[in-house]
Amino acid sequence: MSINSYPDPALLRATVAEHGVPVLLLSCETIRSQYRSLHEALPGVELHYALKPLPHPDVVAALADEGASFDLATNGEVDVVRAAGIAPERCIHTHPIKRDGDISHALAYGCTTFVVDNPYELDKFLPYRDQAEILVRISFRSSDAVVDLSYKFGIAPDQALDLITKARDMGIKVRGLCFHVGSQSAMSYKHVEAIGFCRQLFNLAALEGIELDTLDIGGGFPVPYTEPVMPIDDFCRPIVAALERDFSGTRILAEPGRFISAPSMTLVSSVMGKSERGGTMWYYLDDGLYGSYSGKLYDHCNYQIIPLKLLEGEEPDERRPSVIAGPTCDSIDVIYEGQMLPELECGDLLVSPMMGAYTWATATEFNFFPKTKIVRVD
Amino acid sequence: MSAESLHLWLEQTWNEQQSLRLRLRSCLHESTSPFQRIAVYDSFALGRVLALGGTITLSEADEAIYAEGLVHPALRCHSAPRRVLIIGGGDGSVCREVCRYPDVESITVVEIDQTVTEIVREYFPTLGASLDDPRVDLVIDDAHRFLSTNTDCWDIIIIDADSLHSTANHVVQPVPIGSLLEQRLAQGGILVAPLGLPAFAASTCRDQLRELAQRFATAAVYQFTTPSMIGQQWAVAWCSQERVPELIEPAPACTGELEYWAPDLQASLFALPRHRQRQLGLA
Repeated sequence: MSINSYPDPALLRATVAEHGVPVLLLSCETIRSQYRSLHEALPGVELHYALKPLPHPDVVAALADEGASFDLATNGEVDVVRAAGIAPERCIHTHPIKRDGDISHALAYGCTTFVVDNPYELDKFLPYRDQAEILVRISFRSSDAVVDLSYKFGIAPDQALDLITKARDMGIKVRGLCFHVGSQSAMSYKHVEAIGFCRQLFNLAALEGIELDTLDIGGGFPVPYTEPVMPIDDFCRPIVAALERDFSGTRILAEPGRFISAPSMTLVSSVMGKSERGGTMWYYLDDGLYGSYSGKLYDHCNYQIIPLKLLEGEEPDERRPSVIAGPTCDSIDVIYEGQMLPELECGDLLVSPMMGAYTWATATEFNFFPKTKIVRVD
Repeated sequence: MSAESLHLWLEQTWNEQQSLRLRLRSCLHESTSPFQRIAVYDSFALGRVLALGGTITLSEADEAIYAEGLVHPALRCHSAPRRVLIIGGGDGSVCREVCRYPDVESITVVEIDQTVTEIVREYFPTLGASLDDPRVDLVIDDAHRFLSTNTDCWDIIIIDADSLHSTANHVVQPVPIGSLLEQRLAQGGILVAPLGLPAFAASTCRDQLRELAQRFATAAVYQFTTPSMIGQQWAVAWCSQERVPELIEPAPACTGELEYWAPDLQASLFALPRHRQRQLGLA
């Protein structure tokens, strides 16, 4: 995937003319093509789209049409897929920490697979042991992922067998294991290593007479933001080989979120004010860290911001170091400092591609700046 | 339509560039145990083959070479091999070779998958029978866990797996399997540990050898070739604190006739070509 793919500037202008600014352009065709490319790279793996990064009904509908399954974490996400008419058998509930009401709400919908990573959480399933089935989440720390998802959740590998046998003794069905090596992994060797560890855990469980039949390899499939990443086929090839070697015949799930959603949205914002302060140009946009750029804080993500007029071919005379700030009154609301930009005028449009994951989803309405509207373009 | 006209092939992929294909006459058995896929095929070139997880681990054509190649180079160098531990070995072929030595008093076979022993008894009955020798204690367990929870010592430990690394279980124990093997080897004991096929995985072989060389006074490498690997050689580490891979005289009693190994072969097995020495970091 190229890191320089932008929607047609004419489409951006037309959408802004119709819907105003700021606006997020959502491409469901991109959602579909991302799903297909991962599906081809991981043959035989059930892809459960993780709703977290972009829990939008149109995304869910497009993926349902492609044959995707879904990964849910909250009651709100359960409600989104239920409203979309998704069969509950196509869903798993993967939040490691749940209230009783979260479990019962998912079960009432018909989603019966849950994730557990500690004995206290297991106890919550005692009343539901006739309906619910468990995946045990294993922690594999990953130092080279941008977001280390094994810091907050997951049981240490050497304690997992005790949890599995405890579940058996409580009459709770454990179907298998899951892991998350982290988001935006640079390479897939951590997945491969985790798959090998899980095989060894499957073996130890089998020696206890517990036959596990499901492995969930999580997410971590990378997308290019400001740097190119390994093509998804190349990234997945070692994973496929490891699964073929160790888990032929086992049901394999994955939980892609970012990979499917990140390239699907493009943000267009505008300059709502400018100032020259201490020799540096400051541009105040109508979207910022409290809004669609929230992922810069929460997701440790850097997005490209390009003046639309440059995409339209305008050659600037000169560029100056500039600060790009958000619209709120909080001084933390600065997106970039030291950006080399041509002189911008109030009302000029700025474009950020790759704004589908953890952007709109984590935006707030601080200062009553409403969340940026999503407009579906295909 | 006969199987022959269907051109059934078993393909084993070694890496992204190389694979081996074996033409099959028929499939005799296919199942999935809780641990792996298990299949028995009748092949044109190698006779009956046992495939675990899609990889050939035993064939009628080369099981004697492989089993003799793991057993005799060690047992013939030990003055009194009484207690023998076989890691893996559920197919019984290595056990059969050890059973040839009447002075061996106990043979412990640690196999993770009981189904393998059952399938072998059905399709390779002469091999399976060795596991019924009264000296044999068949333990169904993970080898790494077995070694970490056991305090016995053995005169001979033979790893019957494609490599030492593949028997390690990182979940069970933070103690490396190499360290456990060192602890479980009796005074004067010998460890035999396959490193793999250097032609396909030189760095893996080298890494394992380096680890063993740090633990054992002697960590020698020998090689043998099996027909199923079509000319590629297995590299095997021969490790001991006290002994060297030279034959003991008088030779310990050994019954029956061997197909592959002979005393005059011993020294030549340990003679490595230059490129192999370089691959393994020995030159």
